[in-house]
Amino acid sequence: MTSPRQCPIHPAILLIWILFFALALPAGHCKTPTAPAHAWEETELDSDMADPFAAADAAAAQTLAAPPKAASPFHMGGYLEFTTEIGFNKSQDKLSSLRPLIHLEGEYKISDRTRARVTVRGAHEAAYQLTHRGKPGTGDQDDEEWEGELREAYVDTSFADWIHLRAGRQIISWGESNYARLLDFISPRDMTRPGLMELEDARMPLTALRLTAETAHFTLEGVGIHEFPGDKLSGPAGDFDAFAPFRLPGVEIQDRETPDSQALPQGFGLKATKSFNGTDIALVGGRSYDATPILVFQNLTPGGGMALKPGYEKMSLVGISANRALGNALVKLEGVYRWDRAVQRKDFQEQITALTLAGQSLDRVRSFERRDQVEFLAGVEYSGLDDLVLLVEGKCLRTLDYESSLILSRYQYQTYVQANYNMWHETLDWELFWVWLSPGNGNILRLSGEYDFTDHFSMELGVAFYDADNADTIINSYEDMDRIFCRMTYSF
Amino acid sequence: MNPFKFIAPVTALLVGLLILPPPATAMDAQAVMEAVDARDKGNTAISDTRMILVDRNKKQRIREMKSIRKEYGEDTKGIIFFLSPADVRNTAYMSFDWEKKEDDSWLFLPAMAKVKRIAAKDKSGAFMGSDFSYSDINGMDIKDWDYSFVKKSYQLDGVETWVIKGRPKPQAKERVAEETGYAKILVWVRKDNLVIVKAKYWVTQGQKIKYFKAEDIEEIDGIWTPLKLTMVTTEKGKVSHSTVMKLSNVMYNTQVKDGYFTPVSMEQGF
Repeated sequence: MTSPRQCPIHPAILLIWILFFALALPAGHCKTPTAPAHAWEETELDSDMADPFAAADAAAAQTLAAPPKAASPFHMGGYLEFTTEIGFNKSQDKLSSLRPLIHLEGEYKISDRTRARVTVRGAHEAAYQLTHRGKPGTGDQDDEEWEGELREAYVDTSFADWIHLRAGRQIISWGESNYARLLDFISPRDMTRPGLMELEDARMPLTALRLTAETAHFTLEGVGIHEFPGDKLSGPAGDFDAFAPFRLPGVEIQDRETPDSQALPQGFGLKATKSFNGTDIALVGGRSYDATPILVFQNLTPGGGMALKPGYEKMSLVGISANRALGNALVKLEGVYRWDRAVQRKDFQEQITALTLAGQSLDRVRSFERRDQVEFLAGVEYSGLDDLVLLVEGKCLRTLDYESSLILSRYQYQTYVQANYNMWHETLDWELFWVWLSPGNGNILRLSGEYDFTDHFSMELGVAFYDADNADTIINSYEDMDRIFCRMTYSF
Repeated sequence: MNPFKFIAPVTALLVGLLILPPPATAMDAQAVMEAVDARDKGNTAISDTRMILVDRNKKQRIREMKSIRKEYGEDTKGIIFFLSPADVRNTAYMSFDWEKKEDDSWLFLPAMAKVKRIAAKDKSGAFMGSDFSYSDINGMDIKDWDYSFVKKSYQLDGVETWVIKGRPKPQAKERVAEETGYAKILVWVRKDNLVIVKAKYWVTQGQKIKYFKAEDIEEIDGIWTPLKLTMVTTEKGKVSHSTVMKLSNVMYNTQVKDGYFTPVSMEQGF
């Protein structure tokens, strides 16, 4: 798993290529004005084509003849999706995913001021059975093989046109970044397939009350968090086992324990947003459970190993985000200060040995330390090239009062690059997505193309590489998980 | 469809297109186009739009949307709620078109659960994958163009029209090309109601020419409104793609609350 191996296309080379492409495009492809390729004739009055509209008129006639759908307070819809993934670099079980999924949604507009929305999802990961992969029998693993989930279930209502309430299971997304989680601390994420899942599928709902008061340029939001499901993580039989670095011989990792849902809020968030011409600025504060679980030492096991249990700890934060539109570029900034965040320790064995030698109780094993952290993000989204949108985001996390027994480094960096290129009137979309992680120089690179056969049926083909041979990178255990994938979607 | 393609300010609603003031008789071309530009659009406008995209193989894709617009003096606020197809349902686009400063625009993607600002000075991009650009939807700034008559009298489908050609002013040529994507235009303006009923656009890149026509022109609440708009893109003399827009349930000067034009309204949908 840690054998040196080169990613087929190194991300840095790809980035250079993209930048070169952006800078060196022939003038005709850029938005810079150019002389026309041929001399423009002062045209004749009649069209130089017999009837340029004939084909459009004929094709659209039948569609236009059909009456528009009658407005209804009810809406039902959803999609069916079938995903196949082949892990071509794996030594066995190359069929990594064979997953049918159904997503259903319903909306009911109760009145002009009130509406309700429910979405449910069910999926089955057939690859586990087909590859006879070992199943450890943990609850988390069962969740991954059979997924049945009430996602959103909320009611929206408004009072006096400027006060709005959303109550129920909902997704709450804050912050400027498309990917990084600085101020986006409320909704957890599905982390079972890192780098493969679109962010819209990765965001997970939770039960919350959200109250918003707004004027033309100022918005104040308050959120009470009543449920905390935590990030969804892959188990030991999955390709992306979240606890793989800890799953050493003799170490038992038990099912995770999430905080119970309660009538009283378990956390809260506050956001104040002010919009100016070309700029939005938001101040955010809150206290809630950290979405990343902490492994807590439980006891020694009979075989001389140890049992660890994933759990969740609260943290507090305050931060600011801002954006600025400059021509075709949107500049984004985010900063956050977290205090009392639980940071995982990695020296369980050393502590156990020291305590045992000193004749002290193992109750004194420290699983984590509370530390303050500062994190900054800067990014730019550029849309000034034909049918191409480029996004670059970079962030730096600093853990204060750092000590080497912590699993984090003093400084951690991540960079996200995304390029979307659209062809044939948005029928074919190409996407390049690259994540670079430091320390350890880990890279996740995904290239995919999605073609819309009709308004209802589309197919996506792609390839993902995990360049993670350095033991210091947090994705080191994903080194051999390169894969090609195919996703077919029928929406209705 | 990639929702990030809504990269340019659109606000002005589709119903704001081509609605005109009282007819004029003895005007020069510049004055005609100023009259067209100064037309009464109504202080508010609401409409449903069905947009049919037709490719060269006659394969169709259909988009449906609800548009709401409100004038605030010289400024305009608009919001578009996308109703279909399923993968873009509940997406919303909001834009504030300021007369004396850069426009503001935001996009709400339900899957992302977030209202995000978008920056797009360039309005030559395609609107929702159609043959209409954002500048076609928003309208071009006539102050940047020199207009002259090609024909002061021309019978088009039985109605009297002016035929006017337009070229960007020399000092604005580069900016106009960047913002609209056009090198020059030719328009047919009906004399009786000042509706642009036909147009031809020379695109600055790709040797493309676009053809436009407006049909089913009705007087709604005292405002002349084309209910069917067609734009065809040709390359080297062959049709490459077409778009037909059909407007319905058009209403002007009805009460539109200011609360429509907020981030929460985008999230709540229509």
